[in-house]
Amino acid sequence: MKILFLTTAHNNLSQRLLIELTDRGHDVAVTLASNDEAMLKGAAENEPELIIAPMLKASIPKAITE
Amino acid sequence: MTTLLPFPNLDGVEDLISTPRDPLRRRRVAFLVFDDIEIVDLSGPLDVFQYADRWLQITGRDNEPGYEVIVVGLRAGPVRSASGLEIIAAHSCDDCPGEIDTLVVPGGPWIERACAEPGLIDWLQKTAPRVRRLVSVCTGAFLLARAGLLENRFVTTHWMYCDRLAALHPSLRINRDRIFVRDGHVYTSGGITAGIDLALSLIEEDLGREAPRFIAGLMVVFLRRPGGQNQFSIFLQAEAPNRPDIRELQAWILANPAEDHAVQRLAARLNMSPRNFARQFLAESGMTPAKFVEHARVEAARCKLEQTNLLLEAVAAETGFGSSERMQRSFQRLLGVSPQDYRARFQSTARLEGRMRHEDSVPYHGA
Repeated sequence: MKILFLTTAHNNLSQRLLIELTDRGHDVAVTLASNDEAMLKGAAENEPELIIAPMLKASIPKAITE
Repeated sequence: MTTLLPFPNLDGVEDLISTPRDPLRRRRVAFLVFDDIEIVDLSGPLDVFQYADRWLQITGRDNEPGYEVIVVGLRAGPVRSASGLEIIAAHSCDDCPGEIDTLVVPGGPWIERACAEPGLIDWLQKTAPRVRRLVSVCTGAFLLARAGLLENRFVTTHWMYCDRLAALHPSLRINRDRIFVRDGHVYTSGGITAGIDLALSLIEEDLGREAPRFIAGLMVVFLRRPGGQNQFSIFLQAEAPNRPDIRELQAWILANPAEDHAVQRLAARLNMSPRNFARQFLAESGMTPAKFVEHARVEAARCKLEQTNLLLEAVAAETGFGSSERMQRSFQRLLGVSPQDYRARFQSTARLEGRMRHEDSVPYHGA
C-alpha cells in the first residue's frame, strides 16, 4: 500500500513505524508538516492510499481529506 | 571432555585461519556525498575509519569487526566537491547496500542546495531509521534537520552556521561551542575538521582507547582537542540591532575597548536612564551591555595576542580589562582557553615566517 506520513518530526516513533511498515512490504514516504503548503505538496506528489500522522502538531488542511 | 575450540578437528581450524575475513562481519560505514560537498568533512572521518580497519589487521585483532567504508551519492559516479575536486560515488541511493552501521552525512558551504534535493532527503528518511549511529559533520546537520531527524535534539554544527540552523529549525538545542555532541544515537560535529574528532570518538566507542590514540598520532591531530569551537570563531554572532543609535554605540565600544563602559556612562551617551538603556540594549542585541563589552574586549585582546608581542599585562591594560587576571577569566568563560594558550595557538604565522626570513638573511653576504 502507498502510505504517506505527515509528521512534524521524523522522530523515533515515526522511524520505528516506517521500519515496521516497509518490512511488511508497504511503500512509505515521509513529508514534514512544516506548513500547509508542504503537506499539500507531499499529498499531491505521493498520491497515498493511506495517510498516517505519527506526531503531528499542526492540523491537516481540509483539501487533503476531501 | 572440555572443548577448547569450536571445531572438533584440525581441518576446521585451518579453514578458519586460511579463510579471508568474512566481509559481513565488518561494520559498514556509509558516507553520503552530494554536489559542493566540503571535501575534508568527507575525507577526514573516512580516513579515521580506514585507519581503524587497518589498525585491527596490524594488531592482529581479527576477531573484532573492522570497517567497510562506502560512498553513496544520489547517482553513482563523479560528484564535484566545493573545492572542485571530484569524488566518485560507488553507489547510488537506489542500489546502496543495506545494513549500514554508521551513516555519516558531511556538509558543505552551500548546504541549502543539497537540502532542496528531494531524493537525498527521502533517502535519509528511509535509511536513517535502520542505522545504529547517525552522524553529521559540519553543516551536514542541515540535511538531517531537513529530513526531520534532529527535532528536539541536542546538536551542533559549524560555528558560522549555528544561527542559520536555529532560525530554520527552532526546536533544535544547538550548542555553538562544542566540537561534537551526542544525543542518543545521533552525533553531530562542529565545523569541518571537527568531524575527525568525532570519528575518533566513534572508534573509541567501538574498539576502546588504544585505536583512536594510535590513529590521532598517525594523523597528527589532537585525540581530545583543547577548548571548543568558539576559539575559532571570528566575531560575536553580530545580531545587528535595528536601532541606529545602538548600532553606533556598539561600533564605538568595539573601537574603544579600553574606555570605561559602565552602564551608567553608556546610557548617558544615548540620553537614556540606565534601566531603560539596559532593557533596550538587551532587546536589540540579544545580550546585556556588560556582556557585549566583555565580548568586545575579548575580541580586541584576541587581535593583539595574534598580531603583537605585547606582554599579557599590556594587552589587558590596552583592551580595558585592567588586569591580566580579569582577562584570563573572560577568556576562559567565552573561549575556553587561557590568553597564553590562545596566543601560542593563533599567533600570526605571517609574523613567524617574517622573522625567520629576516634571520635567514642576516648571515648571507654572498656574491
